[in-house]
Amino acid sequence: MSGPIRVDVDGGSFGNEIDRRQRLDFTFDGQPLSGFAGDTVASALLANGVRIVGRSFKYHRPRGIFTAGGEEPNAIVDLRHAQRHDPNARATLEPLQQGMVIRSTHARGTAQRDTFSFLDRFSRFIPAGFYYKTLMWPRFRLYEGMIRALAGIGRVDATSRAPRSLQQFLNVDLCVIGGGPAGITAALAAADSGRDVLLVDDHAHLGGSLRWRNAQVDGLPGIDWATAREAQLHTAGVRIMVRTTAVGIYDHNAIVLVEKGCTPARSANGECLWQVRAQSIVLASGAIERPLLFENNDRPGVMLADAVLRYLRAYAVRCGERVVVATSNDSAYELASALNDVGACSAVVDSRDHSELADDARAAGIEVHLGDSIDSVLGRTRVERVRMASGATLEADLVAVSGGWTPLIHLYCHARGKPRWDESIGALVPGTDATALKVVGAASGARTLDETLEQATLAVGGTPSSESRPPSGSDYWGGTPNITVASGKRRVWVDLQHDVTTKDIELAVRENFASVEHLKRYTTLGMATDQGKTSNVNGLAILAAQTGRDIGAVGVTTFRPPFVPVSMATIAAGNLGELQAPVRRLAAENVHREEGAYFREYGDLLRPAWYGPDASAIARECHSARNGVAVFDASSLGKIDVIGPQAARLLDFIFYTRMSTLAPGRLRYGLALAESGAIFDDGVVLRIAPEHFVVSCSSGHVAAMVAHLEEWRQDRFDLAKVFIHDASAHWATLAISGPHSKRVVASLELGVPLDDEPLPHMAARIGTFGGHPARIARVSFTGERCYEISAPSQLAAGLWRLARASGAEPIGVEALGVLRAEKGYIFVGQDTDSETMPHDLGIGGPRDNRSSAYVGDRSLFTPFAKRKGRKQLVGIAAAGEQPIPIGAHAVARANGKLRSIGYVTSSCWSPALSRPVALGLVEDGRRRLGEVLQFEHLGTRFTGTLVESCFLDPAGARLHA
Amino acid sequence: MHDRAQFWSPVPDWSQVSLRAAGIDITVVDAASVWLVSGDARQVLAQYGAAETYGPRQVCGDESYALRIAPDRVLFVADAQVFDASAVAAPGCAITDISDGMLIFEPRGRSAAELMAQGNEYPFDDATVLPHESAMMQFAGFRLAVSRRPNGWRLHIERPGAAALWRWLQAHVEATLEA
Repeated sequence: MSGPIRVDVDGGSFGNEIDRRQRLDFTFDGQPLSGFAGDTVASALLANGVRIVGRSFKYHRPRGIFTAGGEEPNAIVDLRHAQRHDPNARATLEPLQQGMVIRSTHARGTAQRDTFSFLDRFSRFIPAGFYYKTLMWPRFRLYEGMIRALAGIGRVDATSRAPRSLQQFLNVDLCVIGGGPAGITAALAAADSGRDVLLVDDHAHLGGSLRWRNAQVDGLPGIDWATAREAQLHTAGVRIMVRTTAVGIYDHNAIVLVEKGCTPARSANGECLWQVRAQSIVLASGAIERPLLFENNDRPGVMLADAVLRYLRAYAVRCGERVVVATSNDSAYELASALNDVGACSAVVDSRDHSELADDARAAGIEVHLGDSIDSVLGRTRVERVRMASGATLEADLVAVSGGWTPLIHLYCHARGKPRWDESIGALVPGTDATALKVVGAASGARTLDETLEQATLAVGGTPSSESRPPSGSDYWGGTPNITVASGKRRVWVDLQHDVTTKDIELAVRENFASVEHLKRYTTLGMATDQGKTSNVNGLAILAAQTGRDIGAVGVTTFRPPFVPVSMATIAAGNLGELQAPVRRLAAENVHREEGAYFREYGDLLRPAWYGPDASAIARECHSARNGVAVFDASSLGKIDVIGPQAARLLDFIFYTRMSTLAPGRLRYGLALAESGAIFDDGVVLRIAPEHFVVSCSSGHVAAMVAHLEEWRQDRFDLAKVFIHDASAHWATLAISGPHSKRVVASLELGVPLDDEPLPHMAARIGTFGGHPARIARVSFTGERCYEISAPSQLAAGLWRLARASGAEPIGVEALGVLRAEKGYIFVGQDTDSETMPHDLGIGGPRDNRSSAYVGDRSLFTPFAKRKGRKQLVGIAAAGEQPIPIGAHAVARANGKLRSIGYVTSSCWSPALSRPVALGLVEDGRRRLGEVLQFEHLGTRFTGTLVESCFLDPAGARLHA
Repeated sequence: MHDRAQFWSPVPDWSQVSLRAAGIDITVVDAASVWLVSGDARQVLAQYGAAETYGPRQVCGDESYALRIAPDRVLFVADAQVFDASAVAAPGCAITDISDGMLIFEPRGRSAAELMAQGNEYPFDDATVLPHESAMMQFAGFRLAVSRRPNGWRLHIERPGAAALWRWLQAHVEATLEA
């Protein structure tokens, strides 16, 4: 580290972003350094003379800070502060804070001394796409680990926990993105017309380039104009958010913002995620400078000219002592002048033959080389000299480059806008209109500040000032990129972050990856965390030249959110732990906890898996249900009311089996199909009254079943004659099953007869419990005599305790899974897949006999539905005592090769039968009953015989025991 | 898989809990009954003084009120057990008792608006009345119905999801305390 660095002149035009009275200490690669409040990490590093901040992605070349904004390709650092750890923080956007610990990324050792820097010497052997060609033998996976170890930028600390961050929402009339002159003007004009306006900018203060560039607006110096307008914005009630980046625009004008620099008390990771909904959006995101192409243009000490100017004026950081300003446009002359004022300008090298500003520069004592350009930078790890195309050399420690400007239209593209190439300014500009979004200022290709202000006013329906002047003759934009540099054996960098050179693009074109999309994927140009903000246009220009097309004809790849990377901790926004993926809870959960239940998540439900410290409880619970009496909390089952004169017709249409023939007080099992004919869900329908049914569907499918019913209700039925009410949460359901279940249910005093005659299997009665209505249904998922008692949820705990006190043993989901597998009862989604139709389960009656329409009916008669070889449900009797694992494939040999002919869907040890039982879907399974098949699972082979799916009590005698 | 009873905190005792921090007070509302009412419900609801239906922005100070939750459906919160049973209440109108299936949380106080702004981008404190606006929405990732009260809001959520919403409210109140 060496050098100057802070310009000593305080206040005025230098250092308007920093407060020199407030010193902030931090470390970089272990070295203690200091900066000032208001510094970014990048400005503080530059002020301390840090030139190398990281190593390049592929060749481990030394890299320095290149820009001063979100487009930064090099300065990605590992940042720790308080609870926050961000392994890929962009130094140019991060506000410096006291005690920050910053490390360089992608270096073995430090950025200064990287042991992998030798890779650069082998660069000729590892061009773009080399691994597609050279790492194929004997197989790519041999090399994969090494490549993964070398790739990436920052490293996530697996031991650290994401700190809490904040998420907030906002709804506004207008969101203005960009706080430069265009954004300020638009926001003020909109606020004056009474609109609720939000103005966001990713820097610490409003003003944009006015804060570091010379400009006169309304007779005031630019920065004074911005300060005055900011006060007016506050008065007008505009909500201003600084250090806030708009990272994406989504459907219906949803804008996602990331606010940085939040206090730890507000957000422990220093960031807040905002979701904003705006009626309209004005995009005033400005433009970023483009690099120039020359040999070794990636050396630390090559920077964008506008960034050098900004560090000088806004942060009082002189980035070099002998600066060569290389440009293709007029915008860089202001930097030359500013550097000259502090004695740091060495020369201007302008590739054009003429500039109106050249004479002024010479008059000020600046050396100007017109019609010349930089050919190469000399120096191994830093800029030492530059050689010009003319052959002359210049002493320099910094090269400030300006190859023209690129409007920032990424967010416009997020809003489905299509850019077009504007040859007159050599840039991609907004083409088609994007819904409810207007692009103004430099982002739209405006040529002058006056044009910018006029666009901004018009965009919000205001009347522009009559003082606007026509564009001046200044060549600010610079035109089409100059790509005349001959690469040959030289290395000219296009994409600094992904180490893509001009040679890589030439190679891609030679190999016919000539489409812009193919080029991107072959070379990774524009793919990295900077999304090619500084590299895309130069890449397009080279591709156009290589393929003999215009840049406009080459096209552009799609810009997608996020505009800048967003950490996962910020996206999670404090929704960690229990809030990361919340589960639904049973009304009687705390009673199950008292019972010692072992809980698991089943889908989005937290349920008792068994009662006891370990899985040995499952066999005991099964024994209780088969030989005594067991109680199971089935509260999560659906309880969907279907009410109205057309309720029966709707359910006839929804279910494979007709429900209109049900008598009140009776239940029927049914399958609901998707339009494809595949089984969507199963359940039991209870007819309470002629116009009132209750659908009890699977626990995990309640929301989907409600939506399914509602969809068809709205599609085919009279909306005044049938209604769908989801009352699942209102009812708690306990299933009391086993040979002694009647005795326990009788003790509950529900007020209904429980014998088979008044209450047979698949019948229900309305009784009372605790003074409230209770439904008592004879329906069984265990194969035993069973009573399902549904009572209002708040009575669930009392009902459970009473059943337990009467002798019922608790059983969990795992035991239920065994009991139902022994009976061959299916879990839809586990024992069926997306192709399983009712006849694959052996339920073909309605398909053969129903004449009325129902969902999925036609699909059951397609050639696909009727073809041979459909997977059918079967039982599998495993040989030996070890259950065949769920997911094991049944295999058969065909043409000398093993082929999967099905798989195991459920499998367990049956305590009742003292042997394993399993269910599976097997091709032509019904025809194969009795066949012995081989099953493969992760290299282990099992043997099983295909049998009927019901292993226990096929006649169903136990239902009436 | 580990016993997840340790990971998930027990369901709160809803008769006991409340949350309090500077400027915000969250309580569980003890409503006598809650009903889903579908179809042409005007006459039925008028009998119980709930002829007007509410969206999330109209201030509702009554203890009995009807929230619009779908084009032809309201959530009727009543201060009494108004209907006898679920069924067809009148031609073209159906009712279902869901009293035990719902919990109602009421954030009140000067910081309540800030809390609401962390759950949804909806302009909760905008008093503009849109006659067909639905009270049902995604709030903090939960599907629930929102009603505006004179000094806060009410969040109506199904019981199975209530513990998670309460945990979310708790986290935000704790953050307020830390700040």
